[in-house]
Amino acid sequence: MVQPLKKHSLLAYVVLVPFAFVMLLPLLLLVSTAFKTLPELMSIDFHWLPEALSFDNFRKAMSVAPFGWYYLNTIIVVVMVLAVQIVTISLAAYAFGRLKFPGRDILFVLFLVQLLVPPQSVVVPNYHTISTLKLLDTKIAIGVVYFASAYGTFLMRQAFKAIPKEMEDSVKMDGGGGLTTIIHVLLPLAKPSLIAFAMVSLSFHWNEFFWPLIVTDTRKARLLTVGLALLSQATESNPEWSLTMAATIIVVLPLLLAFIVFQRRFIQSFMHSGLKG
Amino acid sequence: MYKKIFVILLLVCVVALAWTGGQKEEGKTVYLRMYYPVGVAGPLAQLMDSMISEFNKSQKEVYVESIFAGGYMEAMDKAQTAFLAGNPPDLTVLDAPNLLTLLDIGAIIPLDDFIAQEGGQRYLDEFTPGFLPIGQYNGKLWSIPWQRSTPIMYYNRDFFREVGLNPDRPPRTWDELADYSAKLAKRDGSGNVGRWGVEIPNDYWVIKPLLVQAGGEGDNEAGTHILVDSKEMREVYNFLYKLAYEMKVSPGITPWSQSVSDFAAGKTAMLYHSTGALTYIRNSTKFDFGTAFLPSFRRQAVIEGGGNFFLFKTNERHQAAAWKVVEWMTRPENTAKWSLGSGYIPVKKAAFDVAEYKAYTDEWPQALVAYRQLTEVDVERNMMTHRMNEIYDLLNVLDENIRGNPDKSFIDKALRDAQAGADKILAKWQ
Amino acid sequence: MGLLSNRQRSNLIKSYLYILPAFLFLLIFTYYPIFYAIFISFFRWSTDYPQKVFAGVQNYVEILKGDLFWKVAWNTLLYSVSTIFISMALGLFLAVQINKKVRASGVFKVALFYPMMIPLAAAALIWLWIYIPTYGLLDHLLSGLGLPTLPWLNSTETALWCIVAVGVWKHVGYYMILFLAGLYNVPSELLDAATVEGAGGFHRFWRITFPLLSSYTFFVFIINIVDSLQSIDLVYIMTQGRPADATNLMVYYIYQQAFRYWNMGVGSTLTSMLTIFLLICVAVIFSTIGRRIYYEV
Repeated sequence: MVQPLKKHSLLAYVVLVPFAFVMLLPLLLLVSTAFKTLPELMSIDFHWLPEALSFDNFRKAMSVAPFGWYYLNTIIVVVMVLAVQIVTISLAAYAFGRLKFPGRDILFVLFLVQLLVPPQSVVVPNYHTISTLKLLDTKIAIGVVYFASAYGTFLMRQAFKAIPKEMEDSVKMDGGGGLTTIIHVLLPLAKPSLIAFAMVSLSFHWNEFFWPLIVTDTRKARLLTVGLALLSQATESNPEWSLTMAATIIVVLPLLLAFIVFQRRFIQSFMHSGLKG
Repeated sequence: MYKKIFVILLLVCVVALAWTGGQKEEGKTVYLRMYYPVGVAGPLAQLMDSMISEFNKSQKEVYVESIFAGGYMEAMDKAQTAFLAGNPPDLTVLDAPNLLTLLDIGAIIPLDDFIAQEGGQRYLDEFTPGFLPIGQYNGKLWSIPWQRSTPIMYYNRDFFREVGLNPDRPPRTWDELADYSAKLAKRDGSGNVGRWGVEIPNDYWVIKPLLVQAGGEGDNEAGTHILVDSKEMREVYNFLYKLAYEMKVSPGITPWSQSVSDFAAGKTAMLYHSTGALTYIRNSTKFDFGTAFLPSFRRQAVIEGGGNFFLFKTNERHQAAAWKVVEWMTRPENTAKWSLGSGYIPVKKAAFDVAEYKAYTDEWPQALVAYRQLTEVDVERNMMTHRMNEIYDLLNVLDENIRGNPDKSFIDKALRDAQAGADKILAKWQ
Repeated sequence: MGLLSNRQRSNLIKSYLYILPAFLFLLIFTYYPIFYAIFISFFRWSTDYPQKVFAGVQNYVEILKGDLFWKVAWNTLLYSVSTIFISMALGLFLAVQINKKVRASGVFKVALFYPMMIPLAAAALIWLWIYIPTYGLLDHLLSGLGLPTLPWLNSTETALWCIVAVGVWKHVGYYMILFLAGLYNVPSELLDAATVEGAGGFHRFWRITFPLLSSYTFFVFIINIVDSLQSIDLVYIMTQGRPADATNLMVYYIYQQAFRYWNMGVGSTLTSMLTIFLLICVAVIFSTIGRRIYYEV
């Protein structure tokens, strides 16, 4: 049994090492480019190592665009969306998963429709709505279209359904209502699903680009992704790659670092989310 | 425990919702929003912002927020959308040929009253000739020139020397262009192209000059018709086909923006591009390069291009304030500053005598080539039609379709199809 | 309602109250836009017709008659199916390798998963730079090895596949982790038993592991198909549909019509068609194979 296993894992290395290397190439290029000067970059000879370790591009990127603001905005939007979502999906999931009432199944299917209609495909009407509500160029405008989440409702409903009825009874005996049940019984027991949803929501909104691009204009509401993309948009010339890559590093570094430091926990809870569904 | 988290989350919501973090300046009575696109994103956006903040400091009444909106296309998208949603910007810099679209949706106001205030014809005469006509329609003036340009030819003087060409004698005709390209192109051992002779990017703005040089006409004065399926257009594409597939000295497809880096990286010896890329190229290259008029064919001709200021329909107070911004920005010293930072042609005649600009052009006469071209050869108007963006995309798709296709017989069919497509788009106007 | 007691009635109202907050947001930002788009789709509304003019199904007819729509639809399908299929297959393959108790599996996981932590917009920029001919990384590597290079994003034949590659790079780690979770959950007794009976590696995987993985995967698969049908970030930043519409995907096409050309009627028609198409697809899937997963637990 020992022998074939070894042969087995040797094959695994043969596959994994080159593949991991290829996956890492863009990251290496990102770092290498960000430290180069423009003429160096335009040279036909390619070197991984920059001629000098200069942070000029980073300084320039920081002065060209207010990345500090963009960061703040992004964090606020992401947290705000998640916070509201947790409230709305827990309540809805409780009704769908634990209560019986007429029209429940139809309503649930109606909820799921949202999975098919994310904001980028209904940008036009939503832009009008946001404009009517006088919310253009605000952080709320970015988040509000996601305040209800069909995916989250689905996930939490599954989790709530799996919790035995008896768990609720003690709360009921103490005279507690639905809200007490959700907060004290269901959410604690559904923690893995909650975390799973939080991960999905956070990474989705951190990544978001198109809708924020449309509804925001200024630094008071622009997100990192939008700021970055604008930096690279040039009419008369190519993006300044060294500058763009420096800005990209500024944008991706914190989350990437957090991921590398906490990778075990991160990946584990992600896997858990996968199991739980 | 969970109750606490719940409460905290709710609190976070409330705080986040309450915080919109605006930053209007104290004491100003008129607050304006201005969208602008720029050529070289990073540095020019910075220059624009600093000029606007200088304007804000220069007077007590108006505060302008300058909003970088991407490239020309993206800026127009944003301005259009904002107008449609009842939230128009007060002023914008947009690609000048967007005029008809903006008129069709009723988004902008004529500027004649403001111009009369500034001195009427005398004021208009201050502008660099050739840039005003594209702002005129139905006897009114609708936009003021800002970042204006002509396509020019950039060439790598080092490469010219390397192959024994005189670096002070760039090609002057299409035939010479082809000959030079053949000498300058290079291939490496594995058959990959090491260097192109010339790059003419896929953008109608550098195709139309070829068309007018061949004696053709692309679009009519009223902007209601475009002509694609013509003898002259065939000549243009046969010539481009020859460069790309018979001589193999020019790429079939080169995105507009990428071509600048190609030139800076020495991937091409010659390049057709906007004069607006001049400063960027100067900053990113170590080699010796020159600028020249576009090589000519039957006619020595070129087109103009670039962005103008438009004032949107808001209210009188805002419009008057917006005009102040435009007037201030186009003063000779300011347009000179903008040209220094970019390579665009100053829009006021007096700007050429502003000390800094004069010092710059004396030291580096290359910077004046675009302006000289404007005054020394025939200048045709940039293409301008109704449903401009749609037509423009159609022409660019046509260009990529033809030049990306090694089959020469395809040209004929593609031109016919494109003509039919264009006629359909402009059906209402014909 | 006289049949309901007071208590029943108050329970009913309570049930609806729980749903209300989420439902309100859905109403405003999901249901209303759908109906709005469908409504507008029956009008001419563009720069030519700044005031809406009723047009019946004219918009639909014109779109379906045009070549571009079919090209875009095909591009979109090609992009979605190949991105998801390739990243799932690769993800599964890699998960199986990592599951062979390799050393430093953490390093591999990080190397494969980190693109998920990079916003698509940023990934698009990095890859745009990689694909630049001659002085871009890819051409440097290829010509360094003496291999012929490709025109990457500058050719109608390769451009879409370049974008697919970015999608795969971005998502393969996600699927890998997902499958890894499933693999950990496969009871080892089952595999041992199969080994004893002489089943080979591939057979073991196909007969035992894969079926156990599939139920959750299905839901993810649906979500991701829908998600990728709507993807626009890569196209918007990398190519804007060029060259010659070779990378024009449906949502970008909608953007073009509605925001760039101001053809609101056509844009709304496309939105309606996309939404209805997705609704039908998912309805069919749920009513056949999906039912089991939907009702399970």
